[in-house]
Amino acid sequence: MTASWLLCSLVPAALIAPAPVQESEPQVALELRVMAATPGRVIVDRGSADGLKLGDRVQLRPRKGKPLEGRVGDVRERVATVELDDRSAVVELATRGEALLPASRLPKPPPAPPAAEAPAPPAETPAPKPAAKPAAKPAAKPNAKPAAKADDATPTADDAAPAAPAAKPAWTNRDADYDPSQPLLAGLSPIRPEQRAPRWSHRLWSSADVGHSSEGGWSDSYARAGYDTRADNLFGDGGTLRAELELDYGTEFDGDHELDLTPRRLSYAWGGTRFDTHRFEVGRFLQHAVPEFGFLDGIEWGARTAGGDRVGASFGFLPELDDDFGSFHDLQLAASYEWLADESERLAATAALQQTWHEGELDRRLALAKVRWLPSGGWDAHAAVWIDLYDGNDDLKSTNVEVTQALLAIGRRFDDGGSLDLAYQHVAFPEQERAGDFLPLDAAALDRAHLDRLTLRGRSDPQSSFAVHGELSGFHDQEGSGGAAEGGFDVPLPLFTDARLDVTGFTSKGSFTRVNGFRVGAIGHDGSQRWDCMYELANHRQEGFSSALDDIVQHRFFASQSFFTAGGLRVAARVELKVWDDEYAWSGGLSLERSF
Amino acid sequence: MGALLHGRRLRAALFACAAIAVAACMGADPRAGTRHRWWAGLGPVLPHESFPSDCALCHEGAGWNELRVDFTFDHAAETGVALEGAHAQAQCLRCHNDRGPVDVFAAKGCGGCHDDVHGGDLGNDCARCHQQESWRPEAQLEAHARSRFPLSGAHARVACHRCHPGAFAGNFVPNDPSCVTCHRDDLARALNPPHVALGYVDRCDRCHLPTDWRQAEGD
Repeated sequence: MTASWLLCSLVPAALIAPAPVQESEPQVALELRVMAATPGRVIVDRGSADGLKLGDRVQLRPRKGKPLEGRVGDVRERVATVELDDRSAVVELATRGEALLPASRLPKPPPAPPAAEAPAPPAETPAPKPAAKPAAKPAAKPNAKPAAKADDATPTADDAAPAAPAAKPAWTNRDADYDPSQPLLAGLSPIRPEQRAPRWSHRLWSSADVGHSSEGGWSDSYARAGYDTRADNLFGDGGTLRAELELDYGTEFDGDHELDLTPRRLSYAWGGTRFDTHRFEVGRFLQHAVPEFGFLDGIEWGARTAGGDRVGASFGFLPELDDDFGSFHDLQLAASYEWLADESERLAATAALQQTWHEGELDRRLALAKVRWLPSGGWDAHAAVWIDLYDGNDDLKSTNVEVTQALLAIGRRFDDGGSLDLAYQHVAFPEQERAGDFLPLDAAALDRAHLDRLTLRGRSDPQSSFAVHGELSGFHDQEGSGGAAEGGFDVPLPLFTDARLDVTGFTSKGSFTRVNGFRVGAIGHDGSQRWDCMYELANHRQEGFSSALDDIVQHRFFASQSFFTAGGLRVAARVELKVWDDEYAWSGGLSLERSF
Repeated sequence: MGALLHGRRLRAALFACAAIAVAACMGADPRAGTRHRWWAGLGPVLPHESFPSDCALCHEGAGWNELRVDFTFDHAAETGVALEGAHAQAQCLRCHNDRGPVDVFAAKGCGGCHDDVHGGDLGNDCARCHQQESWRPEAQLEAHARSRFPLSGAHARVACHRCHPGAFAGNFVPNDPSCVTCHRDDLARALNPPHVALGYVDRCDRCHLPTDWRQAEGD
């Protein structure tokens, strides 16, 4: 009796239990997607050819909500129907999911063709150098993509090895190889510019800022409005037309007021794409190859060499960088060469020369060298040096060659969002006739003035429950040395979502002022708005002042609110109040921006 | 002739020749490269390898070149890269275009796609001053507090372009912090007492506070 009862109990249990899986056999995840869906049932893009079988468990990961599970109820060669456990669940198309399958069920990768049969690269296309693929891209999950797709002429690493992080083979199916008579998946046919419609994008913006200070009773106000537009492929040649127009009106605290209408940019650029090695840009624009040489009213040419490097030259007038962008005073000729280590462009070095003529007379001769290195692991290294070459007409400088600017920055971005940066900056002032780059200095100051600054800054994961940040810097100039230190923490703001509270203390020794203080602020944002508010209390001690009035305790309040809409509208308002001694100053601003 | 050989024109001519030589010689016949090499080495501009095998989920039309009217794409979920702020509204082709694989440009950070209007003066870490919703810089007073010239009193209310004349074009190269760099006209106008005549032409901070330039203060 007992034995028959036990047998009757075990047989049904054995029948409904899932098929036992051999413990020694590894499981792999078969990535899949939802192609069609009805309540409680979906069709996925994997089938028996991919190793799916009737009864396999499938888990779907909707973008919103919790994961859903189901069981394969019908399986075809390329698709399968999954009956969801939740019969009322409705799943969006393209939802990702996976099925855990024994590795033995996955189709075997096709044998690799003999090396001798591999197509030789075309003569004009250099062989790819090693380490072509940026390593920052996250490793793909084991993806049992249908290796049985015999019509796919370009097998990928995903096809070849479901679980092995094999290197992606070089892409060999070139644009020119595509023939419309081929099956759709046999090749990739890029859409050429002449096949694409022109695209316009626009941006309108305006801002108004007003301010008042009780000490001296002065006020100022600024109103700015601008329009910039960009037309891609306007003439079917892949070129880009860009225009930026800005209207500025300002009433300065000394009573001056001025209205300026300034074309910041009006240029047409074409080429520099996979279809055209050469790139040209004419009009008013920021120089593309060497932005360090500034805006230009003229023409720039650039080209990719057969080895992949870039060479370029530009000719035209340099607008002065003031509010009206006055031009035609400074003519320039420049040339540049950029060396790239490989296709990933993670190591690049540029050398460039610029000669300017001010009102027809030789002016500045500038050499520039810069290096950018982006190794894997979140590292970023950048160095640039500006070298002025003086001749006999540059009599205010006591040297013939001077490094007038240098930057060295090494930083690392960690996966959790933390960062660590070390930067060195050197600034001196070149002798030049051109006006507007910096405030004029007398002869002695021009020769002596310089700044060297070393900065170390870092922060931990900005989303963690307790994030810390800090910065330490020191400087040396012709008058002396100083530095600044700042440290603080930020934590999630209680009672608010997506908001953080920041507390920072800081101290600074400047050229004339020693500052000690702290600030407390909060920032919140979501997809449609951003707000922040801050209070700062600091003592500004004037070190050279010889009386007891050298301490200025300064309070500062700041608040801003921004709104964003899906239609590209941004509205922002800000207000700031400063109080020191018996005086105060306030300012406020409003800005509107619409992109469409 | 001798003057010409030793004059500025010769140096200018040599410089021009050098510039042309850089462009002409080091270019190694750029026309030999008929297409960018990334095309051979890195595959299509917009890799589809991780996309659903059902093209109709996103495309329509016989050539599969058109996107569906109801096309949506969760960039964060599908690629692992979230599009934040203004980038969420960007057209796909602004990043995925004929210039090259977006991986290459994304690895360079903001400068991969955006012009460096600061001309390289401020380095590559744009996020120190900008956030992704708008390019209007923020927290500039806080940044200035770490400089040689913390903004005290009235200085904290002065528009940037009063001291950085290139501010309209993004040029924020540090100035010499001496008072006369900005207050040269004020020095010339200071006649009670006559500052220049008395030699009061530097170290203004011995008598003046940064809260107000107009008159000296004392005990």
